[in-house]
Amino acid sequence: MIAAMNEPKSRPLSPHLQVYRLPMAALMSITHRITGVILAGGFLLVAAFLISAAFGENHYNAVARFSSSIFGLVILIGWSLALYYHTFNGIRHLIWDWCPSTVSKDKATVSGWIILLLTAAATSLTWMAV
Amino acid sequence: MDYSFADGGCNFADMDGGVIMNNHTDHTGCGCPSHGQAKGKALSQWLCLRFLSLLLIPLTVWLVISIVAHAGDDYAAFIAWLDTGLNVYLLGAFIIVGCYHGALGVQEIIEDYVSTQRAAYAAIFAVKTAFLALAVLCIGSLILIVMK
Repeated sequence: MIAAMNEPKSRPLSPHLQVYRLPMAALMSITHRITGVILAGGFLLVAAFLISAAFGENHYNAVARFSSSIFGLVILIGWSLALYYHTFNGIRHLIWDWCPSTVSKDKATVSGWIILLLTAAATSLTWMAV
Repeated sequence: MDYSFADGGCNFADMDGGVIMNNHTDHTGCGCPSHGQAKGKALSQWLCLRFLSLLLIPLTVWLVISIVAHAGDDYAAFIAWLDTGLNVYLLGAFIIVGCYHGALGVQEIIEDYVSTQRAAYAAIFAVKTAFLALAVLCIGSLILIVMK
């Protein structure tokens, strides 16, 4: 009777994201994907620079003016933040793939914080240098 | 209902409609033990994504240094920079490797989150076409600028 009651009636559900506090590694993982998509979108600005330069000086100047406007700067700062995060976390993923024995919960939390600090430091240094 | 995987076949529950798809024809990323060929394709894409990311590390360092050193350049200075040394080739390499990496990366996200196969295929095709068009436009522009 009890055995019958314990029999699963339906498929197990994936975690309910609203009530489930995601661990650090999971948050870092989803951020890696989000920053990847942001980088793909930000690449449009790099493309705009090149394509406009091929059309001539006036077009290039228009893109340059846009990227030095407040809206353009917000995009560029966001893009640099995403670039540093995705690069640092990507290197960590390469290390994990190369050497799976380095993966552990404690180490992932520590290296996660190192990546966040490196990202903040590199982004602010870059914008101080510009 | 029997959800046994013991037969080694693919029984996937469609999250939206609750429809069970038996013996689906597409096996990309399905990880079924009986589809070695599909697994080979997924593995080569996985490896390719990592190989491209390795190439992108030095290219990114070079790009960031270049952008910081040349922020606010006018048109003439930008063209002169492109014409210096390996810059045009490195930028071309960044565009090709970056677009390929981006297409494979977004494909992986779509495969994970879009449960309807037809929609996933359409989205992957659209993303790959967009990245290809972007890369062709950028490389074409580079060639035009250098030829001028």
